[in-house]
Amino acid sequence: MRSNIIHKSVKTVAISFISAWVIISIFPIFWALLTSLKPPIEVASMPPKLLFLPDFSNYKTVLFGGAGGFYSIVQEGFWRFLMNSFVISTITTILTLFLGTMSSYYIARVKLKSDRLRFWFLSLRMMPPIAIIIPFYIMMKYVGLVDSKISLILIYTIFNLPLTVWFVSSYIRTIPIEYDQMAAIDGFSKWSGFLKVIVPMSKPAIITSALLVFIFSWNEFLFALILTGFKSKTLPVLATGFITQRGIIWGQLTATAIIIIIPIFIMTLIAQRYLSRGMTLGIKR
Amino acid sequence: MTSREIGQFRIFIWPTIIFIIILTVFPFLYAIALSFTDHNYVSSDQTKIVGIDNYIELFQDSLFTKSLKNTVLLVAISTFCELAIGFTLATIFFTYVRKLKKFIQTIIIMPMAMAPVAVALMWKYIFNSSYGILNYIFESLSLKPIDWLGSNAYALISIIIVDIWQWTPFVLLIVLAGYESIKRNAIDMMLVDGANKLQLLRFLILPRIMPFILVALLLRIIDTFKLFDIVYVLTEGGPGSATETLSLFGYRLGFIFFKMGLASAESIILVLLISVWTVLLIRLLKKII
Amino acid sequence: MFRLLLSLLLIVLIIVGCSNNDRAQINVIYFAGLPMGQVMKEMMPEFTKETGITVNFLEIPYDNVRSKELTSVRQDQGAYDVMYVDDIWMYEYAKEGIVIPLTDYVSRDSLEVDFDDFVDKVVVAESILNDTIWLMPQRADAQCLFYRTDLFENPKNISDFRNKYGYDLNPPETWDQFKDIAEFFTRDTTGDGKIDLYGTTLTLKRPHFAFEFFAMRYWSFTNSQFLDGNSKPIFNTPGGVEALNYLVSLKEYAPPGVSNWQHDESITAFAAGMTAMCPQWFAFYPTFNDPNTSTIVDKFSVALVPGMYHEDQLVRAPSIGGGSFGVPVDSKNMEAAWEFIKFMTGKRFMKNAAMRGAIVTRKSIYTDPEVLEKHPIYDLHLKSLEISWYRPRLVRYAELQETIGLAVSRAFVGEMSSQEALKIAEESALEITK
Repeated sequence: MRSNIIHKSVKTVAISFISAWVIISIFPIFWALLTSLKPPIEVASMPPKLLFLPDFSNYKTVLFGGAGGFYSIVQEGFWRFLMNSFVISTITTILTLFLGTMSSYYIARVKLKSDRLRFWFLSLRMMPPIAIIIPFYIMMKYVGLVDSKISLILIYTIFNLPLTVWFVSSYIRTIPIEYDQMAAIDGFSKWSGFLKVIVPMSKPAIITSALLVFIFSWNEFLFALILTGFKSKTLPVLATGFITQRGIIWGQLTATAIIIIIPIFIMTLIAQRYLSRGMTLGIKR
Repeated sequence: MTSREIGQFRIFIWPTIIFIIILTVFPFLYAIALSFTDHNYVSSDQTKIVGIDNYIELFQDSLFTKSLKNTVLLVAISTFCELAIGFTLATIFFTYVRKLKKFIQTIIIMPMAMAPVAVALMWKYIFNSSYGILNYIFESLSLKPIDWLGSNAYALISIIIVDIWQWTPFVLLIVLAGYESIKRNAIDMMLVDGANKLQLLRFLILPRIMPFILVALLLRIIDTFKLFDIVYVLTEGGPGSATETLSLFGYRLGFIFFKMGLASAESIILVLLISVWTVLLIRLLKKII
Repeated sequence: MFRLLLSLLLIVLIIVGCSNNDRAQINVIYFAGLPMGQVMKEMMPEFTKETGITVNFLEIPYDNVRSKELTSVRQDQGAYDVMYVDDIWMYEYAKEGIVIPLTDYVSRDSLEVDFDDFVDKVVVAESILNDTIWLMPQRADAQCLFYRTDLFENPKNISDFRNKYGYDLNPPETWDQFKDIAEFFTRDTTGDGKIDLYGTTLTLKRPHFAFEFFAMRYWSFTNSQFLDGNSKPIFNTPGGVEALNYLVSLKEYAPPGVSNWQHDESITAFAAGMTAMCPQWFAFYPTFNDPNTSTIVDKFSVALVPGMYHEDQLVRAPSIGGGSFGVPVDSKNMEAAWEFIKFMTGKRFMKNAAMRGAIVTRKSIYTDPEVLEKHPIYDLHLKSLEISWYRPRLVRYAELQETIGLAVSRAFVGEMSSQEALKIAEESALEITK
């Protein structure tokens, strides 16, 4: 009886905690959404206006270019930036997952004497951009890959391998070795065993990694700024263009931010389907 | 495991190792070499080798030591809060949330999905002492408005708030996947012992979730040590030196002053600092697991 | 037969010659979001039609431009043909061989360029160094004082002010008057116990906002530059400390949070009616004049920045700032680049830009009756330009700006005293100017 009450009150506290967090998470983004639908003069109004007629001119200007006096930035090629960001993020994710999951399998299964390999992977993420951006640029110049999407893909992959490897290998470690052995007994080669048994079972970790890697590549700014010119400029570089010397064009900046986040939102919703492993215990043949 | 088996596994790791070595050997050596010179990327002066002068100069710079202090504080507080909140959220989510699971999870992830620059600008607006929404709410609740970004006392706290807001979902995702991994086994046990043995489950589940917490912890520590976008946009180190961080200091050395030699030395110090912390943490947590 | 072949060859040559012209392409870097940029983009098709040169126009946020330009030139790939250069970078760009001298180009096309038409002070600040023309000036801004005419002309304010301070309420001529007026206008106008009107805005985010808004006071307080003739720091003086203390004392008459304000916050505050005065760059005039972004459209005016008396002479010291075009040394299309620069600093372009409220660099435009009729305030801007001061000239300007900006920020927020802050800045400056 008493434990039931405790149980119920714990549940209430828990639900309120998570609801509070949801509100905290969404509030600034919601605020940005509101701002993007306001004309510029309302930005500093106190008390802040909550009810008003939405005005989509900011979105129109960002997506299709527009006149709009001195406060709009005529955007040529928004779609080109979108394409660049999309291509770079997708290929980075695929490459990182490919190399990363394979390496995770090795690390999870092979009992290594020291932690050196794992630590070496981790160290890849430790280097601050300033130290390696110039030598990396020199390398790209040497192979003629300057201002190309490939240069960004390569560096992003390096940065995201540590995350993927550590995360996915921890996950694979929780898969009992019996599954590997069963696959071997059934005549699967190491590779097909990996592909057909281990990988599907590691879906939550792999999909989560994919999401994290994609988000990282989609939002990265510093390397994109220095390593790209006209051909491979990405969305984050575009977004910062609204920070001008004469002030921040809030309406269009927030509109751009919202536009940039929508693909991620959709992708996350889709990815949810694969994040939960479900209760299947058998191996599908 | 037989050596033949290990040999079969090798194919899984070698492509990645080769890939990494090709891309990182040169930059890594270059950075180390550069840290012993006084190279200025823009200047036409001859680059001289100065040995460890750069390192000495950095430690004698009061702004550098301040940035060290600020960064360690930032890392410690942010990471601790992100882990605590992230873990709690993941646990609650996994245990109690049934309806609207996909929707809630997507919303919780959104802060992390937003471009850091956009996040920083949004929060700059929210934190504005004169017309920002946060102070407006404070005043409505009869609380004294705070000068978030303009005062010595609160500037760093504001940065920490934004970092926690943005990166707690990261921890949540990783821990959630961890829960998924043990779901399979734990479910059997839950059915066997009955749900009111919650505390026993704590001792069963916790050790299994530890590796994932460790992953989240290590990655957050590394990333927070390198935190740049938020600080640069919100305060650029100010007011005074209240939010001066290592990555900002290094960025300034490298991309505004173009003193690449010094910047490389600073980066090496940063990497060593991060390495020390991560090694210590790994050793410590290994003992607990 | 032969003649046919010859004429065919001639036709082919002409076609190739013309199409080569058409295929000329240049890459231009510019600061993002400038009104001038807007005008440029609109006139770009005209430029292409006249010269056959197509332009790839890249706009980057101000904070990233210098990094991008310098790294690009050192990478030696000919990535850009025209760069936009802030006046404070000119010394560095010239001395480090980032841009090519343009003196020969100017003399070659002297009639078209009419170099003497550029405002003298502007030329000194952002174009010529040691008798060599390094950059072509396009924008010239100067600090001025925006103020609320409705508040200053209000009869009650006028009489209250006279009673309290003993002189007439007018846009301040000296910094002491500025402080009195700022104090006077910091008040609670709605009677709810909270201050909602402030005397002035301040714009003091690290580092360059802090520096440039300290500079206007430092210069008039001390009537001297930050560096002497040998480029050695001379700012750690009683006058310098006094100027910094003065700035710190304005804190209570400015809205909370100014220690972290960039231009955006201060112009938003003034445009929303939050302050009585706003020392800022003249470039923001259109913002205050636009009903879409300002609630004070008919309620403000502009004055010269206040100064300080030095032996009967009132020394006002608005800072000059602006942008000029330069041709990077690694460009592969220098002729085409020069054509672009000529067009975008030419009289036709500037007249167009000036009519739209942009801040140009030619005397003829500032005195053009049509322009003055539309923007009579340009008269004041020209005056500001003519009495303006430029910021320190040295290759390592970025470091000096950072050092002094840090000192200003530290003193303002109370991290240390003005004396201490300036002393530390001086030590760093000595190393920078070694």
